[in-house]
Amino acid sequence: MVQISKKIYLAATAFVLLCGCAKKEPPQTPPLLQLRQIGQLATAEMEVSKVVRARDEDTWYKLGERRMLITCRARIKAGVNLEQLKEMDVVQQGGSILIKLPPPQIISFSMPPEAIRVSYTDIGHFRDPFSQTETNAIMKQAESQIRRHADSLDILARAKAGAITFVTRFFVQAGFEEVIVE
Amino acid sequence: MKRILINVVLLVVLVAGSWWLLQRAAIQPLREMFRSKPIVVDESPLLVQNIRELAQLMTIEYYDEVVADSSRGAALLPFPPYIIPARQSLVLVVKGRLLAGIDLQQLDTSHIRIYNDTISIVLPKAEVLEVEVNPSGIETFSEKGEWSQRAVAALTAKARDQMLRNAAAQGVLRRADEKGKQLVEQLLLYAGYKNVVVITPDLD
Repeated sequence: MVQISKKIYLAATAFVLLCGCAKKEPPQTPPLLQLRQIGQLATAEMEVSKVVRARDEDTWYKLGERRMLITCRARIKAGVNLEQLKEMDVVQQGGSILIKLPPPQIISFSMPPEAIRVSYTDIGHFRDPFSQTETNAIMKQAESQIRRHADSLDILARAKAGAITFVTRFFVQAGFEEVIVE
Repeated sequence: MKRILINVVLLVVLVAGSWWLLQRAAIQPLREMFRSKPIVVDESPLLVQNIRELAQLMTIEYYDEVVADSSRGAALLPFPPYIIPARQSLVLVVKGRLLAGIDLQQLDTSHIRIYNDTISIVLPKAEVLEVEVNPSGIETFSEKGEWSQRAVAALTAKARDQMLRNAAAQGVLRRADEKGKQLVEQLLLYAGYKNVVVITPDLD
């Protein structure tokens, strides 16, 4: 009987200890190359602004609400990746040249902290003001909202048009009489 | 002795059972009930302020992560008990992306010479064309006291300056010149020129 009790005790202790050992693996972040050669021609830049409306009023046991208005600006650059341009994309015959450009893409997105301004805050009597961690979390949401809408801003079409204009001018300066850019 | 053993086993079973229940749906709604709801950011429209044509050949992409911190002493409280509040400090971990390259808008016919199947071109000097420091790249590691958005912007600017210094130490501009030269050379060779001479002010 004593032996069985000992075994039960040991098994139970081991179970509890093992539960304590259960650990979630931290998310793996892929390594990032610090310095990389690229070849992107930015041909269009768009500056957008947004008024961010944030509210914290849904937690039932917190008395009072908190609201905040933030104005921010973001700068988006788009263009074409010249690294994707292959020899067969350039056809030259005498004084004329035909170039097939790669599709346009967003190259950079910048939302500098100096372009973020808290315009208005409304804090309930029983609430703490917004901390910087919370303000930054709000701005992260605003950033992803702007990024989501970036494609609908027509910037890619403008980048393509800009790339055509620049490449045409460049090859005319390089001595070609007829330049066709697709 | 037997009673103690039974009590221990019961206690262990109780703890293990509670832990199991906590992981299961029975307790989940209760836990959910006391969890703070996230701050809601309403969808609002974007306003296009400005559109500009560019011709920036970005040739180097540089990522960096720097720590920026700021602290300030706190004054005596103006009322009893006149104690000194804790020192206020803010520590940010800032990730950024720097893009360097050549502004080709400065290029005009005076920079290009053509002799039969030979072309020579003088490229403008490489420069830093963009430094991206976005909210998604900023992590507040430690925050003590109240900090305004302006103070955070100043601290982030400090981090960005550090990134620019780190990039300069890695020779980003020289590498951007080299890559720019290589890209333009390749483009002109594709266009049928037999001899291409690309001159960059800092390399040649």
